[in-house]
Amino acid sequence: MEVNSINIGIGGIAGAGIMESGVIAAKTGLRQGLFAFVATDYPSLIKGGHNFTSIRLSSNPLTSHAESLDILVALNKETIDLHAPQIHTGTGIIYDSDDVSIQTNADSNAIYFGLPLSTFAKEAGGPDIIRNTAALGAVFAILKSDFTVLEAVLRDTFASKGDAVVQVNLKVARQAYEYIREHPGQPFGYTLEAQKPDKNRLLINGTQALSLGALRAGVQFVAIYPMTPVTNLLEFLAEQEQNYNLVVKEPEDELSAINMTVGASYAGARSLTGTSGGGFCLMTEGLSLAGATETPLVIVEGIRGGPSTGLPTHTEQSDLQFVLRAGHGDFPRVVLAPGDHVEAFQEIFNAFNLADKYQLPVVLITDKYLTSSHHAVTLPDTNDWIIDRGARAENLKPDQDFARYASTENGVSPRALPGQPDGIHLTTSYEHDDHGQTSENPEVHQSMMEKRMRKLDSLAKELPEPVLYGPETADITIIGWGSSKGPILEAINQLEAEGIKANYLHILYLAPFPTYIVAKTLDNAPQTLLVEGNYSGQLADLISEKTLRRVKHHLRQYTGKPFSAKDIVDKIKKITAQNKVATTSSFAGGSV
Amino acid sequence: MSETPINPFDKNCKPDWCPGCGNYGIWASLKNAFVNLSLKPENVVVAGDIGCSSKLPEYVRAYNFVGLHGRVIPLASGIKLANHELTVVAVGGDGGIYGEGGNHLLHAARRNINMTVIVNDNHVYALTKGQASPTTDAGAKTSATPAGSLEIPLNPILVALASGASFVARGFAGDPPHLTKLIEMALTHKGFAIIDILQPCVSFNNVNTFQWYVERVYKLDEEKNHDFSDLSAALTKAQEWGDRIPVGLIYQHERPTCEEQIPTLKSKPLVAYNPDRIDISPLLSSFQ
Repeated sequence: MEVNSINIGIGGIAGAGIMESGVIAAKTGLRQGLFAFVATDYPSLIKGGHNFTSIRLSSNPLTSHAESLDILVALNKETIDLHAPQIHTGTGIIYDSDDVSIQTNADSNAIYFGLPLSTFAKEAGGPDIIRNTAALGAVFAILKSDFTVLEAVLRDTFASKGDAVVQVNLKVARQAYEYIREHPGQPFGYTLEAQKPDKNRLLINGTQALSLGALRAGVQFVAIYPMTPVTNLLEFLAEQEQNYNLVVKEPEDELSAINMTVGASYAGARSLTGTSGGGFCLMTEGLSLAGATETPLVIVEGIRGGPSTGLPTHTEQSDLQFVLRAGHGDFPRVVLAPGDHVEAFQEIFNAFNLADKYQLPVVLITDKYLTSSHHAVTLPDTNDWIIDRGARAENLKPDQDFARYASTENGVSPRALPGQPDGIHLTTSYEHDDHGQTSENPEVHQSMMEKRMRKLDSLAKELPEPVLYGPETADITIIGWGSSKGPILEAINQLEAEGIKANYLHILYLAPFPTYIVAKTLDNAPQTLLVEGNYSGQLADLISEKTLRRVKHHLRQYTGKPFSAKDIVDKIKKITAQNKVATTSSFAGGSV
Repeated sequence: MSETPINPFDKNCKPDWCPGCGNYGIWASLKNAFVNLSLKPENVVVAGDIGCSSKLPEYVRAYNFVGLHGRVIPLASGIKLANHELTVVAVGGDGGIYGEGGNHLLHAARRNINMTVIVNDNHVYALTKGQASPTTDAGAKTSATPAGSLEIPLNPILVALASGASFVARGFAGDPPHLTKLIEMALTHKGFAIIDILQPCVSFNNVNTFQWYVERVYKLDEEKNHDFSDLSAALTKAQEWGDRIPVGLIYQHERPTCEEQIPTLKSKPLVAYNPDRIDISPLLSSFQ
């Protein structure tokens, strides 16, 4: 009997409430003291197609989703067919016996639980969509979990829709739950045992983590044009406009979004915009504007499958080089990519401080996998977190020409904001002198360029070093960035159980690049594997460029799906197997 | 800097504009309007686009910001929303406001942020030396259209009216006293105001010269039979061009501005909130 370790899949057409069901199931696990990870897979449409969510519950901390399904809730027949490769011996398949008839045969290794979900929905007087809630009742019944936990989650989830909706959902969930109790079917090898819940553990997705972090950072002005996978960032913050004294705009296009954000920041508001690759393309001139005028800016770039319109609802890590180079001319920028939900919360806070302190654009890269997956996490205590608005010009004298871009040792010049007496100055996208006046003087351009770029020297010293996860010494060191972190850490755990020691160097800040640590790590590692979700090896190129070293092995994913821990485990096993062959080879020079 | 200028918006500078450029008249009118309204330079932002028009912010003493070509309207919008106590003016040309940045004009008119857009409309891209602009006449031979422009000009007044702009006017750079008054009206208007200013360009437009305009413009408010609150009348007036060109206020209505409808801004400007020790804990219970 497998206790407190399960991976549940729920599939059906879009519009059937699949995503919401995933969150409800995960919360039900959360409230029983379990860790949870929810991943989603859905097409770019509103109704129809195939939506899928997987919910992993465990008494041990989780960092990623899993592919292999222990329970599959199939709200239509297609789901069973599509996910057949993920079903194993003993998988419980819950399906609507009103809709689908299953002929189980001797070869069938799954355990089928058919319930008349459509009938339950109709009898409860609810719309067809509540079949999903009924299915959840069945899920927790086969797991022998106490119904009251699911019941409470359903109440909370549907409270805002009114009591009638709450009741109808409770009714079908209970009905399905009881049905399983009365028709237990074959013995099912997975169960949940409630543990003491941790009140500080939250189930949040990446967008929520970024939003909470931005709010904690004191964001004030937000301008975001809807684009998957960052649209929810706009919506979350718009919802909180009154509660947190924000101004949230949905502008007419991304050109407006970035220019409005630059304007608001210039006037002294902490400002945020966000988009995906295609929208970021439109923002690049604005990025150069922020760099040239030394205007603080925080931009969230949520990568989806590219190029062009690509795969709007799928994930990739293919905009790294673009973000590093975006915007014409040389100007200083920070690029960072949180690897998980806690990092997203924390690092967007840091992004705002860096932007203000060094008066430059900070691009925070995320992706669909991170933004749309839910993770049960404990957020750090933010009591000691200090908002740093950067250097301000004070005690200015009248009739004194304020030098907005005065040369300083670290390149940062104190700002005066509109409305401030005696700080009047020109800001211009043209090259300018230390007073902000347009200048074409060669010496001025040279010294201004050096002043702006000089900011990176002190900024780089402030950044945390990349963290090496896992054992200090290992058979193989994995290098990666962004949301690959979760599957990589999961893989490291699985490899350990098989006697292979791996560790992971997580590169959080990509610009300025931590050249020394990365070079040292590569030099000391017996084997290296670079894991990234793009075709061309964008992090590999960055590492080569900065450290003059090439990582030996590469695992690249460009299917639109995230890495699974299994992909990484399999690759490493192949590498270590190769090594064993090589070391026993008598060929001079070897073949590895 | 030993002299105190009479006009606090004056700057010791020599503009780059060609002698006889219509921009001199616009420049003088804007500074005079600021002074007449007793505005203080530290509370004024003149935002600029890119072009000859947008050198103007360099020659006015205030917290000015010259941004990107076509993007002065969103730049100014962001500045105003962050601090709506500032007087925000967006200066651009017919190229930046009607071409590169056309989309922003449409939506800014809908949005009705309290700001003034001044368009130095010389019917040509002057700083890049003479290409056709959105307001260039059909058939005009320019450096980009040597065989004659194949497109008809855009009618900025019609576009502004159709987009819902709450203050639409046309001015003439050759009549600074009239233009100054018009700018004052736009600045005191509560909402999005746009003035399309007929601006002679001595270097690249030898059709719409100062003389050409003088023979054609007439002051609409002197006609005494135009109802400024009537959109249909304004739409008709907007199409009057050629031998007679009306200047002055064409249309005005009042409706709530964008910022006065934002609850956050009811008590103070956004920048007056000093976010510190934000408490996000009320949001966390829904994630448990």
